[in-house]
Amino acid sequence: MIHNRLCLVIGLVLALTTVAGAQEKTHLIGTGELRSLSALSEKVVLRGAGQLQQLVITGHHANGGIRDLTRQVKYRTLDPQVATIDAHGLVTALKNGTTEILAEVDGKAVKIGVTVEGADREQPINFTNEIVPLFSKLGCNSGACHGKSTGQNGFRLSLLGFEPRIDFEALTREARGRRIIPSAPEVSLLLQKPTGLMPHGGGRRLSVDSRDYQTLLRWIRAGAPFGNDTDPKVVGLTVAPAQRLAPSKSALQITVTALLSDGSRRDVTADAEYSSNNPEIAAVAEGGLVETLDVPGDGAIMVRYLGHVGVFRATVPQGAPLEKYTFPKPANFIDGHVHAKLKQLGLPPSALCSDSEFLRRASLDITGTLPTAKEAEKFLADTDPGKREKLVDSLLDRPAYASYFALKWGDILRNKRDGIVGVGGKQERTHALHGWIRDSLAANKPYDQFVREILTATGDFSGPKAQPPVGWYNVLRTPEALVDDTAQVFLGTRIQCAQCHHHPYEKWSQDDYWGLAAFFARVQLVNPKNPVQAKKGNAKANANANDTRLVLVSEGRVTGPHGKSYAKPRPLDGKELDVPGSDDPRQKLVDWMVRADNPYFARAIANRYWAHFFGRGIVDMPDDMRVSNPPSNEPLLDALAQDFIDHKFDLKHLIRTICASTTYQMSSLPNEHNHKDKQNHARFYPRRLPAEVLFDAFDQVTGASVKFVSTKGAGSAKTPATRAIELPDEAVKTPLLMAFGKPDRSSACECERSGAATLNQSLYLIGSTELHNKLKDKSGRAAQLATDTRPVSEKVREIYFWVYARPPVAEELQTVERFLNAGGNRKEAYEDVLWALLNTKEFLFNH
Amino acid sequence: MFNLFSESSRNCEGVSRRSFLRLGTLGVGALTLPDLLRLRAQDRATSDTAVILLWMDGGPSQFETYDPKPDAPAEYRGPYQTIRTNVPGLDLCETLPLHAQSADKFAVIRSVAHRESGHGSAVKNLNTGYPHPPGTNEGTFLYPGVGAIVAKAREQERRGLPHYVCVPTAGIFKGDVGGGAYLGSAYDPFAANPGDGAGALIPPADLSLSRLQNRRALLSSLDRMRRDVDTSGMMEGMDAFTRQAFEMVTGPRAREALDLSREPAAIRNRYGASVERAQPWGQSCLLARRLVEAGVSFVGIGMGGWDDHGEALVQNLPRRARIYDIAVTALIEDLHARGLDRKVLVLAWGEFGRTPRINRGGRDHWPSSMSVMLAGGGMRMGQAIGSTNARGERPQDRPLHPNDVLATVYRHLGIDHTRAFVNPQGRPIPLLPNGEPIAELL
Repeated sequence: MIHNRLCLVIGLVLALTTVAGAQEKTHLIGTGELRSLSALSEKVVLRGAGQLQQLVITGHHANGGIRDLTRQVKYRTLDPQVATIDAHGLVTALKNGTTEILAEVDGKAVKIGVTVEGADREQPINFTNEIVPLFSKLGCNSGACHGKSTGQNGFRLSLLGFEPRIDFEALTREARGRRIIPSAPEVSLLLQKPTGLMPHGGGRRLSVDSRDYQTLLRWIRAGAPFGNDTDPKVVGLTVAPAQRLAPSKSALQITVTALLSDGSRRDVTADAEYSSNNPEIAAVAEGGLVETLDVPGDGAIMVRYLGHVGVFRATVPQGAPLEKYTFPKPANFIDGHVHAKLKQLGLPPSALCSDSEFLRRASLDITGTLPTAKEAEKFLADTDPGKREKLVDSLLDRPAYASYFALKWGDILRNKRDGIVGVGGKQERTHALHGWIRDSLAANKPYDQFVREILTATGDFSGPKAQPPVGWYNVLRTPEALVDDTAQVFLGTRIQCAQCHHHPYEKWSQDDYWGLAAFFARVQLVNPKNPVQAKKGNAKANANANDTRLVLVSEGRVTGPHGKSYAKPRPLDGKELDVPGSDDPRQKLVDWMVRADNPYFARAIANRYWAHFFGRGIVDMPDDMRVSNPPSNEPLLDALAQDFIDHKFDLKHLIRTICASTTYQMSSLPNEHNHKDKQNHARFYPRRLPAEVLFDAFDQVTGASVKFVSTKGAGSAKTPATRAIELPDEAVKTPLLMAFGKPDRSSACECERSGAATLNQSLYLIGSTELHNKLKDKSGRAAQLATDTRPVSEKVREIYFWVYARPPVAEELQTVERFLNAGGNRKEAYEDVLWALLNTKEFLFNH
Repeated sequence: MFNLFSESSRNCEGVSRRSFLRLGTLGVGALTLPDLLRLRAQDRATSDTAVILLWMDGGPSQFETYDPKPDAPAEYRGPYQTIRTNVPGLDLCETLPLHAQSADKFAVIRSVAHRESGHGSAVKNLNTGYPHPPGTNEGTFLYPGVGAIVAKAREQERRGLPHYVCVPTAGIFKGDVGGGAYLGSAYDPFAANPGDGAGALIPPADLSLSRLQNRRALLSSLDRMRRDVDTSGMMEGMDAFTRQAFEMVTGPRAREALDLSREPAAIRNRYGASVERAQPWGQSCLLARRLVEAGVSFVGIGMGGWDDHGEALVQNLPRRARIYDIAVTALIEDLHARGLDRKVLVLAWGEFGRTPRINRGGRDHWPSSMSVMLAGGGMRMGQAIGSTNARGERPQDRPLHPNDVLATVYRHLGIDHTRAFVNPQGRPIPLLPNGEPIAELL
């Protein structure tokens, strides 16, 4: 009887495997009756006893869509002597032979052929391939633990296992050999500590009955070998499936396969490390089980194994009925790509924002400035259907545009007074660089030219022959600093980890890093009064206060770790370049960057500007573009970058394109289906005003004004700015600017500008002298309104236009009028009203 | 795990667990939930401890304070005499006569040395545990100060007052002893001066309590933007901070803690009220004591002016040392009298020591040897740890690094100094790169 049924099932499976091989509709989530099952691999080969293989079983449903059923099916091995399988679909090889595994549910089934080879002989164990990954997986070699440069409690491992030889020595030679005791493997510290059998500062990381414990034990029993140089090495990683549409709150299994140098493949799903880039969308557990949550969008899972990185993307749809909603008519290609994504996810967009919201939003984003009350009245009354576009054009023509974006560029180019070595002339230098940035932006200098002038600058920092863009080299005085900032600012990638060790989340090695550094090897800072200095040299930190001229010498090299010397520059993913002494290698670097096929340059700036206008990059963080951090909408990023290249790196064009899209003009008010969206732009995401913008907005609304004078220097060196967005460097600080996150410019990361909410901000708003003085200014708004003879309602209306660029609604008008008419000191009452409005979220946020 | 959770939310005043979860993700580089839980697990047992830091800005001379060298040649010994104290073997300079009567209640470390001879780099190294590159002379701390770390580690404990407060009477403010740096401005110190700077705990004098209450009422009726436009949780987070801030500013707890007039005149005078003019250090110490009693974890007090080059060593130091002597001994004795000497650790130090050989009447910067004073913290008092050589040039016995002192401070605060926070670049930075708690004190 049993036998018969089995035959029947197998027959059914055979009939169905061909169906599973046909085109599957991976863009649809399976609903309705389950029609068939398929396996990701229908034949698997395992080499060596104990080798694992993770299966993935997919269900095909009546609607043509799919679902992961790896954990729903029941598994059975036809010959359990050859291999076993657990309830999660993990196969373990036992002895040579072939068998079949049957996965079935709801009367459907699929069969997987299993072959085990080499189980009859002891597989040689390789330290690098099998032991080191355990240290990564268990967290032993992390930067917070034994992986930090000083180790932990006397035991040091190389950070994230990039130096297996050093780890091997540490384990087998140090601590009087107590870490590894081949004669009594179980009492080795390597096993006693992480299992908690001996006190371990890092706690219990490993259980005695785990497979990882058995692997370590097996290695020690084998005499703790390092392995042979001829043993195959891991040369790559594949993650399968690479992408899946998955319903919210569901689980799905991924597999990770290592490609070895001998051409073989090995399943390492159980040993790889996983982490989620978007933990609100999809979480991941050890063993590659991905669980989606209830936020729609793309959840990227980063997979790491032995220095190799892979990525899986779970796309979680909202699945709302879109027919009830109208999508706005696309204004340009941005909307096309955004709408396509929204439609894929079933995520209906919000309505378009009001004129008041658009005026306020565009003014704040382009010029860092609130519209005036008059401007707002006029814009609202304007009946021209093209008025939003015209507004953007007009904002881009204002000096405040250049000032505001010069502030942004000043941050990431680190135009920093405190970073300048030496005494005197510091303001002169930061002001010169600031002025040059501002003028370049005002003139709409093509971005490629802007970058070239910075990167290839030579000449004097200050004085009559000053070359302002040299100022970028003020703070960046080593090839390392230059590489870090070049990569992060202009290529959108954080390479600094690779200075000292292979990048943990990226493909970059130390050779990649130092190949870039070699572009700067011939940069030298010299003393203009004594210009006869080395004609060639080893570029290094230069902290001589008198060296205020940047020159290019004819030869130079940089020295990386372990004393390795790099003379030939090499662009990322490129070949070493021979640059004659008469040429500037930095020109070659820019040539490579600005090529139309450069995969980093245009995408980095397009993404950075996108983040400026939407509060989040298409790749987020905007300067952390890497394989393991994919864009939320790849076609959109590609198109935006291509459009930027096609328009000859025109920054104003980029801004116009972004602001013209209906995506930028979406309301922040959610509808019933898109309130959880955080990455697909189904609505506008509000963000708190940046520190300087807030400062100026307070001034504008309260009618107070401030003249910034420098805290240092005198006479002509005093800071001329009258608005916070015009501040050229980081040196001028006020309590507001500090509390609301004006960066110190100590890194090129935009993340240094904090938009977070804090308790001191709230205390500031309630009780700071600075804001109090603005409110009670003798000639300020409150003072004027207190003596103004117009009816109260008119005055309240004006206040609302100053604060929100809109008139008050009846209820608001009534509340404020009642407060103002309650008697007492009239000026103080107006101060209190202004204070309350300045503390509302509608004011504090750009929305 | 869940036990821990409910423990932490029980300490939360006014912040729901939901907003706590969201608040944790507001700032870049915020702790992950597991981080927080781990921190809580480690810190729970000792989280009522506090530290008062007396930052002797300028770098006090060890010879004229805690490490006199009566037997050295005159050009090293300097112009002052040595006095005995109530602890045999713990002799001090005559500039600190009141210290002599309380020596059983503090400990001196004489053998600390480091390499930073500039004010800018030394102040950062000693307050953060990390050397700073040249060029970061003025404001920029690249690493968080100890107080900021404490504020981060204890951020889920709401006590009606911030965890990290600086008493800015002597010009100390953000950055002077370390702000939040990469942890974010949320961990900068709060200022205990009226309307003074960000995070002022006391509003300006002409802003009455009733006006503050009017404003709060008006705000709540006008602030009507729908909170669901923001899924980051930031608007709700701000609302929670606003509630907390109003409670601090208008509620009794902070107001009372900050109100020195509640102290009897005798106490205020013991803290030197009558002798202080330009340097109200004693009243700052009294304020610090009130603040730690009210639940503040870390109070920084600036006691600047110790940069005694040239004639200052004779002309200015005695007057300054007298005010310091009164303030510090009053604080130490008061903490003892109130049974706070286990809960509160007092640490007094500056950037570095001074040059052993007198130069133009004064002493210059000397990081190769310096003295540190510690009191309370339930530690072993009445001892001198380590020594310098005959001319006070360098450590002789038990050479120690400033980070050993900081590791001792973290231990008192129940914070594992080897744990790491992740900076915005994703790199884990241990609280200290080196250093171990000083065994003699424990």
